[in-house]
Amino acid sequence: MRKKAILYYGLGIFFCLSVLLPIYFLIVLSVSGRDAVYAWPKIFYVANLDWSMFRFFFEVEGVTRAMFNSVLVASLTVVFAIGLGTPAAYALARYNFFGKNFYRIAILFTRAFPVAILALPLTVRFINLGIYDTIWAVVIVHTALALPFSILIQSNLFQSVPKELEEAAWLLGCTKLQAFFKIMLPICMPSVAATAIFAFIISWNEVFAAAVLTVKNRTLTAFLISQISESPLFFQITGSFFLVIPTLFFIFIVRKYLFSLWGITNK
Amino acid sequence: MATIHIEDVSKNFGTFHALKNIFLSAEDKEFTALLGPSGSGKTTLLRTVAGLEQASSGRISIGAMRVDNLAPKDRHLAMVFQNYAVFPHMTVADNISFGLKTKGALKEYIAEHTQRTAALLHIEDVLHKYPNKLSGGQRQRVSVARALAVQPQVLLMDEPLSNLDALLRLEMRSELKALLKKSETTTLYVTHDQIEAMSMADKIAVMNNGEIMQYGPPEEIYFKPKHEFVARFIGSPPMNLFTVQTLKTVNKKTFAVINNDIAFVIEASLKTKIQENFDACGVLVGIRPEQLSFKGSASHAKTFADASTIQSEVLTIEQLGSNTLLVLKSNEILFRVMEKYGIKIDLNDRVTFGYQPNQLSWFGKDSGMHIEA
Repeated sequence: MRKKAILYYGLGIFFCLSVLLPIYFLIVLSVSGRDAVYAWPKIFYVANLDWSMFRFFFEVEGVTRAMFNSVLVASLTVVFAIGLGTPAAYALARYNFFGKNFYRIAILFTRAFPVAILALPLTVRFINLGIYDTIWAVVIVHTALALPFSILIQSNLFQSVPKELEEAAWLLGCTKLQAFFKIMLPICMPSVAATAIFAFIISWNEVFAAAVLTVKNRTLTAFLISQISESPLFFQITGSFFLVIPTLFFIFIVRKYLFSLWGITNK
Repeated sequence: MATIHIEDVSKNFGTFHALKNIFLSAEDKEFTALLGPSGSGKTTLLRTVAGLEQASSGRISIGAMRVDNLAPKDRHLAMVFQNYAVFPHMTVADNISFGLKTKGALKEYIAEHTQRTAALLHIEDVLHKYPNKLSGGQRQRVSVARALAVQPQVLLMDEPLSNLDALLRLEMRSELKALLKKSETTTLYVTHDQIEAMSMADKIAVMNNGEIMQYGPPEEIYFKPKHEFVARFIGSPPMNLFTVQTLKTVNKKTFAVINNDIAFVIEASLKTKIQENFDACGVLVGIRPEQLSFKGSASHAKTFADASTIQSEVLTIEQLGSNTLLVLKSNEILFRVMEKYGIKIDLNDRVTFGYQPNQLSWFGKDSGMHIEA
């Protein structure tokens, strides 16, 4: 029994460290200056704070533009994933319509094909539509990637709200739309916000579609993926910092809701 | 004038007939209870009146207005739900004033009226609180206040007291009754609790399998059940029903014979009708447990000379406080008698009970219908 516990905890600690240590070094090194990056042995703590690497990073041509693109694409993805996903989720949660079960599965089909396979036809189509190498091409693909999560998570969410709450509102003089905005949405707001942030993260992290579908108007991930392999180590470290830390930060904010959305009880 | 007229309303869910040709007319300011076992269609009927379910056929009118094609919000009614359905993201005050706000009432009126309605239900101290800080009883009050605040023509209540504990239910029952009397609202009230229905309602509609078995004042439902189902369902304990084995005439009196010990005398006016029914499909005879009275121990075997008595052995004795419930057994036939506390009786005693022939209820065995003169 005891041996088993030691094994479990040992494995647990090992996996935690394998994830956390690189992140820890990433943070420490990115604020310690260039010399610390190349120094050996590596330091485990910040000796003196040095922002020079960040300064350099933002002075590199294209970085601010790419970062702005990333924020814009991710924000638009959120707008579409929520704007389209919420009504669809509500329909799935509250109405019985022909082909409902098929629709529920069909939603997942967008995730069934790897982006790598879709990349060529999408590129051709986007060139024809004249939106190749614009952020709209990336927004469309990212929305398609985020929508299944947005719909399925929110439909579970809406289903968990007692129908009587809406019915009471209808009887008290609300139209169905009013009842949705006055009752359903406020009750679900924390989780809808979590869903929005999750869509933001999906877009922020996505690299393949963004790299294939743009040449000049790149998002930060796509920009860095083309730059990092031929960049010095200190630039790689700052680049990684900006890819990893915002995501971690957002996930951390909404972790409670994501757990409950995914059915993991948060004790 | 807010009468409710339900005419020939049916509701089907696929092939399941939840409501079958319902007719029901409630007068203005009347309190009508829909009473029945679970699955009898009483909640479906209520939701159909509310507009939360669409009737498959038939018409529903409130006052002079036909409402069955209107959206719920246009029917001028309010509803109290079994699970209260209090909006969790709003304070008690916002809950109560919700209906007034959506209907665009004036601000001053809303504030004053919310206060007044809250006072009516004794929740003026918790107006600023959120529902999750309230007890079940308080939530129920909020839900009633929210419904009454819009001064609806018709108030619909779906088992509003069933989630409360017994003591609170008793308290809320009398309070609710007084409140509804004062507010002069026409009320439809769904319940499976017959005591609730008997004590609160002006009229009761007893439902079973999507049909109204009987509709009338509580006393009529209790003492003159029109159908075997009503006789079995109403009353705690319910009516004793015996299957008549033979009809026998002794000394010009006709008896419905159950077994050697039990035979009920048939009133002259009913004789031919009962004979007809008996020949066609058999007859049941019923008498309420409290309508049988203890006449002392049986000194001799049952004869047809003592017309209005029956005999049997005492199987169990339950002391229920002011009353004593006896379960009696006579040749595998069990029946119940309710007596006042203090009756001198022992287990396995052989005893005699008397009854009034005019208190007997007669039903056709297959049809279940009451046999009338």
